[in-house]
Amino acid sequence: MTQSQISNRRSSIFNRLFDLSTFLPLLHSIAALGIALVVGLLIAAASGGNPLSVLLALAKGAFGSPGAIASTLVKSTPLMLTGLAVAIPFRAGLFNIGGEGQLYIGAMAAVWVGTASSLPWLLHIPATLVSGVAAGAAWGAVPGWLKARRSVHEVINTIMLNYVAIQVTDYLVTGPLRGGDYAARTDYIAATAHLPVLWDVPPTSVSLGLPLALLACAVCFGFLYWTVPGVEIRAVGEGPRASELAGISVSRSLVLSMALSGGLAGLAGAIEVTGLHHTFYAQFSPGYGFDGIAVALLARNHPLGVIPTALLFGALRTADRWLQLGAGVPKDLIVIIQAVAVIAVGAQGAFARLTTRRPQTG
Amino acid sequence: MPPTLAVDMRAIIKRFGAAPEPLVVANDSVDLIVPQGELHAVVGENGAGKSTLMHILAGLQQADAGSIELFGEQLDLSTPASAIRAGVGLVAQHFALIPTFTAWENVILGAEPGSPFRLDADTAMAEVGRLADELGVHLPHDVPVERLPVALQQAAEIIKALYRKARLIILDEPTAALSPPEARRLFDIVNRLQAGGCTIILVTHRVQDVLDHAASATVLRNGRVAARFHQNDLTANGLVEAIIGNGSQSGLSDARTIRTSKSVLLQIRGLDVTAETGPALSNIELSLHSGEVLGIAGVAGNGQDTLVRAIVGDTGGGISVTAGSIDLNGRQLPSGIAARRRLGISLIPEDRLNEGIIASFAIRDNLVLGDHQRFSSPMGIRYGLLDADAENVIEQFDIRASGGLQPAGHLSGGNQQKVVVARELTREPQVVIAVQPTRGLDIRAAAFVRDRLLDVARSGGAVLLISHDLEKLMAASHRIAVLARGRIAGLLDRHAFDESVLGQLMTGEHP
Repeated sequence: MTQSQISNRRSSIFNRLFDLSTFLPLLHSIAALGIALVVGLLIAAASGGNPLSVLLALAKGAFGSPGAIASTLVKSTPLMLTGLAVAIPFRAGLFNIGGEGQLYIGAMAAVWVGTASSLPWLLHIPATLVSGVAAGAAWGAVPGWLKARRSVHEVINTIMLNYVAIQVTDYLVTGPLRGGDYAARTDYIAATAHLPVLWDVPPTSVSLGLPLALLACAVCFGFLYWTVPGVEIRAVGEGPRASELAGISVSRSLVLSMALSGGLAGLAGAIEVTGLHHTFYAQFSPGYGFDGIAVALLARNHPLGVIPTALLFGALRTADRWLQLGAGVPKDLIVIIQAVAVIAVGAQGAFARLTTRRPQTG
Repeated sequence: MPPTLAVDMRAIIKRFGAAPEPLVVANDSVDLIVPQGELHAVVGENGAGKSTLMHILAGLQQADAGSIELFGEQLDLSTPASAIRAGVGLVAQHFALIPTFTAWENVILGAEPGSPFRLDADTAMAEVGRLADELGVHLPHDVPVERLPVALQQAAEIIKALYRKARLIILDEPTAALSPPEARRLFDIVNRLQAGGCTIILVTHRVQDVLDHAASATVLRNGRVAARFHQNDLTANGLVEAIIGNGSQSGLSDARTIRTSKSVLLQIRGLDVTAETGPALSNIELSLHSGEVLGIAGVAGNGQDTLVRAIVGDTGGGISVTAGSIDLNGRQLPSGIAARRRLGISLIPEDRLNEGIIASFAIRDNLVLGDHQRFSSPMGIRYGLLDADAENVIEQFDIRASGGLQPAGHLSGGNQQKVVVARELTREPQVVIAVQPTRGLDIRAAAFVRDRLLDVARSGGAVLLISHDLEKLMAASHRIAVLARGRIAGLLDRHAFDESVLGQLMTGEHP
């Protein structure tokens, strides 16, 4: 390779890194958040609140004390995983609405393994997590398989399977697997299945689940761009027919992406059980599976983008109580901000079409 | 007194881009003069500036400098509406029709008869029917245009222009999507338009259409006028030379220079295929020899698509083989696209954008689509190797791109096709199925693609070439099989090639 070729190559990498278009999606998401925040503050002001005190309450609620920070991290952990569970199938062209159900199934499997046996912790922890992942993956693979083989729409199936998962786990915790007291929950899992606590801030604690979720984001990023099945998933999402004719198995990619997605949501459920609750309460999730959709959309379905958006949504979820106390504004304002952010991201598709120059033809 | 001019464009200049981007001069002081009532051809390669000039004439783009007179009047064509008022009708290559509307609804859209509160459908239908009759076409009243054949959609576009009182009709690559009989009917329509007093501008890169139909021609090359021709000095050689420039004509090799061998590579016996979506195939018998280019002629929709899918193994979605066999080197092909590709079957599909490339993927990834496994290691895909490979292929296949990382969707159509051809041929295939591989390409890119396909035959492989363009087929094939209504209607050897015989076989009128 000659010197000029090398410098050519360098400059192309340089250009790519500093090409604005590489960062355009990021700018779009930040703009969407800005719009959402402005709209949220306007609504707060219209309903008699003081925008400045709303902002202060949000900041204080999410980051104002060690407990607040820990709570933000704890709430972000499942959101990272359910965000990934939406982002990965999206890259294959599938819209997974089933994160909530997959999370419940994963949590139920984890609690079952966590209570049913007594193993040394070195085996017990991985066993509970793996069973959560496996159960979620199986649950997620079903709509993937139905889509690939029978062309049944995945949105309908994943929504329906959410109800099934929630009702089945409800039945289990109120019936066969009901624990000792009056609450609708299972027995507590064995101490050998508890995830190690990294930072204890009563009443909450940050467990090993957080680094696991961060690791999952990194692994998914590597998977999508540096492995053959990952590249094939993206190829199927971007050009299904061209992929098929090039010999890529479209069905395999669809099923794989949904199984992966289910596994990630299942891991979220397993981490909730082993790292936080140590039991399975009926309907313990405040909608992490559904919030995952917003997390993924705002992250533009990028596995690394999921990290900041999940932290943001975790922070908003943590701060919502403070809104009422600190600024006298209903905590539903958080939901409005989330919703406007998602709408703004969606609207950017139309916006991009307006601003893109028309291709020139000869 | 000189005859009135329909179009008198002088010194038109149009530049694209602004500093610091490189400036593209699409039209560099171009003159276009079209006498009233004539059929004038505007000819040139992709990117020569034809479409830009026509867009200026139709008010879709504004010239940076120059003057435009239409029918003797100096005009300011700053919007499409002002061009329409001046009597300009543009029939673009990609039709501007609403798929779910009927033909007459599309025609009147934007100029509906009746009051703002009531559409006078009877008047509209009668008027559209009258215009259709004048052109000798029948447009059904109640069928959405998406279900009409391409030729009728095109007729609807022409009637749309007439309905708006167009006196100058621009046809942009009108024969690109038509079969030979359809193209003949189109020129019947054009003759009637001329008889009715219309002036026609035919934008094309088909030399034969110009020779057969144009009274005069302007050739554009690199944004400038390369030559002007009048009927008596229009020759094929003169045109081609003007289009691609002096001395750059590549040695156009054809199938004659390649000797076929007797050994059979691909053998199709008694193949019956049922199809839900397209016409079925019955009792197909074909053999492809080593070193051979076998052409498949036929009007679009006579089973070509089903045949291609059956051979490459794309048998989902309503296509199923019910009888017969396809053997490669004497062994039955396994099922599945991937398995057949591994054995050396390559496909250059018809729909380049949907079936050939993934527009958002980098060129380098398109070049190895379905084949990333080759670069896989336990540490992930080795993009260093893949990039080096891609650089070579990009150079070897003369793909004009800023680099392997450029998204394939940013390339021109010809270069996108080169990406597909490069991918399919660098696999060292035994059999290449090529469906209209040079459609929409300029002369140079088309010659390049054709040469690469002939290379496959030269090195002992075989090519199944499917096209609706008899001229191209006859130039490139050793034998031509005609597909009509899902059957092989005839098989001609090279010495027996004859356009009229092939045409009769295609339409089912046996000679």
